[in-house]
This record gives sequence, structure tokens and C-alpha cells, in this order.
Amino acid sequence: MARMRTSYRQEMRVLSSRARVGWLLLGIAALLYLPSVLENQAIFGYGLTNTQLLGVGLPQVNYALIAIMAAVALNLLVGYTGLLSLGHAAFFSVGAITAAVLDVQNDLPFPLVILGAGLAGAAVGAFFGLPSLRLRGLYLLLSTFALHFIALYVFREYQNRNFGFAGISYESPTIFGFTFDTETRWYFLLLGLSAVALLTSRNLLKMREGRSLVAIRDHDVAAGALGVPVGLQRIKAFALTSFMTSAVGALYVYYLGTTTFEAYSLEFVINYFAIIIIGGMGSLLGSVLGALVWILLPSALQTFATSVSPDTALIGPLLNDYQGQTVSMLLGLTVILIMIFKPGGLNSFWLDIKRGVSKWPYSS
Amino acid sequence: MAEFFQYVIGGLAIGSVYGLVALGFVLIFKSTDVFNFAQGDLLMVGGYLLFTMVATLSLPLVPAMLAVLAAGAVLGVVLQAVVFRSMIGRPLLTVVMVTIALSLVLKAVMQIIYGPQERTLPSTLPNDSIAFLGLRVSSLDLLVMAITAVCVLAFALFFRRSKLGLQMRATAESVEASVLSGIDANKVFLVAFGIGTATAALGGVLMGNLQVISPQLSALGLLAFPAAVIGGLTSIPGAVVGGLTIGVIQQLATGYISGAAANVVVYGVLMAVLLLRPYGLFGSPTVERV
Repeated sequence: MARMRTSYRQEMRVLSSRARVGWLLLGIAALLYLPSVLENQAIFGYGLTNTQLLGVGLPQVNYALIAIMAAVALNLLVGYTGLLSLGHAAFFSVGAITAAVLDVQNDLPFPLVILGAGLAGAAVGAFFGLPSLRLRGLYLLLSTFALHFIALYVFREYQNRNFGFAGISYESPTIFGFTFDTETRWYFLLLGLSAVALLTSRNLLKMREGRSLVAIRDHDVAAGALGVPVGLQRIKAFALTSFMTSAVGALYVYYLGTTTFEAYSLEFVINYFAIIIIGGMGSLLGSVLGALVWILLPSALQTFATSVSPDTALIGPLLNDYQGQTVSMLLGLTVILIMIFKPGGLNSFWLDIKRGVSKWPYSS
Repeated sequence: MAEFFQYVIGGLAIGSVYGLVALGFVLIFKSTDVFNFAQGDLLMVGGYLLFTMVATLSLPLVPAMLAVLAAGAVLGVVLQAVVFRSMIGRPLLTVVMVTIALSLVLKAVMQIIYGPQERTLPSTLPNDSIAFLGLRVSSLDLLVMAITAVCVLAFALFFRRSKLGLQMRATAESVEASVLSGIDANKVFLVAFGIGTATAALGGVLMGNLQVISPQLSALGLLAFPAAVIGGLTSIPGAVVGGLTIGVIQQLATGYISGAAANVVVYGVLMAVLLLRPYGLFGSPTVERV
């Protein structure tokens, strides 16, 4: 039941009701228990088969956590501020390059590297946000094309000059002598950082700064008339989201252990767009749901593939030989269907369910 | 100096393909307000369709090319009727997302059907070297330029002289006003998509003659965007001039710097045009509040 808020303080509270505290504790307990479930493939001593888990292991979950953080950043820029940008892969590569310069070449400590990657991303983001002062919509989208190809070129040249064609290798990061070298350790690091990213974004969106971004998306002239410095806020939105994206980009290459410029293609960007559309534009929960779908779909397909013989007509080769393509085809079709029938994405399904339950039996 | 002109001629040939694809893109954008991100992928589809018709069905080259054009037109009409009709009046972002998703689907489907390997046509249009003022000119390059010129001329006549062309120009000006004067806007949208997709397919056909057919063709097709922007996004002659400009810049950058740097130069030019003259070389400056 949505309550009327009577003060700004209520609006700002992290936990709006007692029930929420309960749900939150339950959620935290489940997330802490998750690694043990996936490692032992059992829940409270009751064994689960790989198929029942949809083939999901901790690596997929960790990957999903990274995708969640990056999707939140993209959603803040595209979904909340309404700035169309294809620069996501470019900012990921800024993170990867910074990590290579600071850690691989200069041996700086891990937290400083992540911070440095974020700052480098913010600087690049603010610079390439400058066209947003003059350009809108489509034209802005086209100008971020330039950002994408320039970043890719810089990465390629940097990699080929310093590391060679095979790619750049990163060592497992260490904080105060504690090395993140197992999936479980990574899980807790990424879980903590995702929680920070989500909470920060949620709080930002309730503050003056964050609400001004939404105002700019909805009507920039009206927002300007109300005293929002439209141009400045746009640059800030670019800087903030590219800070997040580049920091996540650095984490991502540490987690993978190796990377090459070829990974940061336009398809990479398009996949992230698919995530935020499937989840729901302008919704934090949507970013989480979208990232989960994006990660679960391939592993579910893979699990399914093991039970289908490669000789089966039509779906056999689809599932066995062209898994990646099948996944992107399904994602693309889902996006088209969602855009035609349910533009709010998974988030609006969730809102419908919530409203249906809370108003039962009076809702339609 | 001869080297320079060699690059320019190669650039004009490949640029005329970009111009053709940009032309279809501008046509769709102008009359239906759909910013078709999948234009490059439709080009790739055209290339692969040609391969099937020539290599698998062993049709002669010229009828196969015409068949691909027809297939492209049908594909465009189907896409408009099934997907883009429900996008009319939706926000820009939604429409762009749908075309991005479409590009994802087209790329995946083509790779599933044809596999990841590159395909080469068993035979191409005549490709002889002709000596011309001390330069070596490929007859294929000349043919590609000629085909583009014929298409542009046909478009110009179609828009100036035919009734349907007039209706399309009216709809591009204002959908409401044209519907009020009895124009069937749905028909115009279908035709726009049909022609736009057919030109993309034709671009793919020409590319298939100029180089190998691979999923990379869609990235080349993306160069239709800078071409269209340089021309002014809504100007049909502008699209062609933009395409030629992009082709020449790309070839010069590839020749004098490197293949990898060519993209940076091309998109750098795009960025400069966007910042200094967002309405392009041929567009009319509109007052837009930012």
C-alpha cells in the first residue's frame, strides 16, 4: 500500500515502513546464503541439480552484479536524464586503460586504481558531454558515435604498443593483504559495491540534483524556467554516469583477468541498451531485473542445450552451435515486443503485480 | 599526386554506395520520423541475399541483383507493417531502441543462417583496369558510380514528377495536413520503408561486388549516418554528397594514415559538422531550443 508522504524527511528515509525492514533482512540473509547454495548445489541440505539451478553458478552471479552496476549508470544517463549516448563501451574501455596504466604499469594499490579509473571516466564524460549543450536527441546520439570510435582507436593503439595483440593481463587485486582470487571473495566485493551503487543512485534521485535530471528529461525548457541550470546538469549527468561506468569497467577487467580492445564493440553497447529496456527505462529495479535476465538467459539456454541433441531439427543447431546468436536474437525480439506492448519493461510488470496484490480484490 | 587521385576515385566509388544507403535512410527518416539504426544491417542482409541467389540458386548476376532489390522492398514493407506502424507517435528514444533491437536480430539471424565465415561471390560485375589520364581506374568502380547516379536521377524524377512522389513530399512536410487533403499516410509510410530498405539492399549488392560479404558489412553500412548528417539529415541530394565526402575522406585516411584511424577521422568530421553546422551542408537551419 503506497502511503501518502507528509514530509520531505519521510521521502528521504531509506526504509519507509516496518515491513520493509523485515523484507530487507530476509533479502540480506538470502544474498549471504547464496554463495553456499551455488557452491554446494544444495539448499538447507536438499540437493539441487544443475538443471534446477538453470546452470547458474557464482561466475554468472558475479557477472550479473557487474552488469547491474553498469546498467544503473546507463539508466541514470539514458532513462532518467534522457540523454541518448552510445558511449558505454567507450567508458568501459577508459576504465580498462586506466587500470592498465595505473596497476599493470605503475603498481598502484587497487582502491586508488578504481578511483583513478572513475575520475578519468568522469573527465572524458564531461568533455564528451559538451556537445549536449548544443545538440539534442538524435544529433547527440550521433556525436557519441565519435566518442565510441575514438576510444576504441586509442585503446587499440595503446594495447598494441605496450602489450601486443594478445591483450592486457591484470593480476587479482589486493586490499590490505586480502586478495580477491576466488569467486566467493569477488561475490562479496561486488555485492557490497552494487549495494552502494544502488543506494547512492536511489538517494540521488530523491535529492534536488537527481530530480532536476528527471525534470530535464521531461521538459528541458520548463526545467530551465524553474531555475534548473540545464546545461550544467547535463554535463554533471555525463560526468557522474561515466565515473560509475569507468570504475565498473576497471572492476570488470580485474574480474576477467584479461581483456582486449576487441571486446568493446558497438554490440557491447547495444547489449546494455537491451538490458535497460527489458528491465525498464528510468527504473533502478528495472536495471537489476534486466541485468539478471541478460545473464540468466544464456546460462538457461546452455543448460537446456545439454538435454537437446545437436541433430534435432531447427533448435538443435540453434542451441548448440549458435548459442550467442540465439541469445542476441531472443534479446532483440524481447526488446521489440516490450517496446510495442509494454514500454515500461519488467519493472511495469512488477508494479502491476504489486498494485494488484495491494488492492485485491478490488483491482481489475 | 597520382596516388592521391587514386584514393579519391576509390573513395568516390565506395562513397557512392554510402550515399545510396544514406539516401534510403534519409527517405525513411524524412517521411516516417523513424531513425533507422538497422540500415547498416539491412545492407548486410542485401549482400547475403545476393550470395544465396548467385551461389546457391545459381541465378545470373543481373537478375539476381534485381531480385534482391525486390526482396529488400518486400522486407521493408513487412517491417513497417509489423513493427514500425505501432511506433507512430512514440517518443524518439523508443523508436531508436526498436531499430537497435532490430539490428541485433538481423545480425544474429544472418550469422545463424550463413555462419561466421566470409563469403565471396563466385562472379562479380566486370572488373577490368582501365587506363585513364595516367590513372588506373577499375571498371567496377565506374559501374558502381553509374548505378548510383542512375538511382539518384530516378529518385529525383520520382519525387518531382510522380503523384506518389508528391504525396510523399507532402507527408514529410506535415502528416496531419496531408491526411486532411486525402493522402493515405499509411501507404506513403509503406512505400518509404519499401524504397528505403531496397536502397540499403542495393548498397549491400554493390558492396558484395566490391568486397567480401561478412557481418562486418553492417559496420560499413553505419557510415550512412555520418553521410546523412553531413548532408543535413533531411536532404536527399545532401545524403549523396555526404556519402561521397565520407567515402573520399575514408579512403584518404586509410591510404595516408591507417585503416584503423580512418574511422576516427570520419567520425571526427561528423563531430565537427554536428558542433559547427548541425543542420549539415544542405539542410535548412531550424530554430531548435537546447
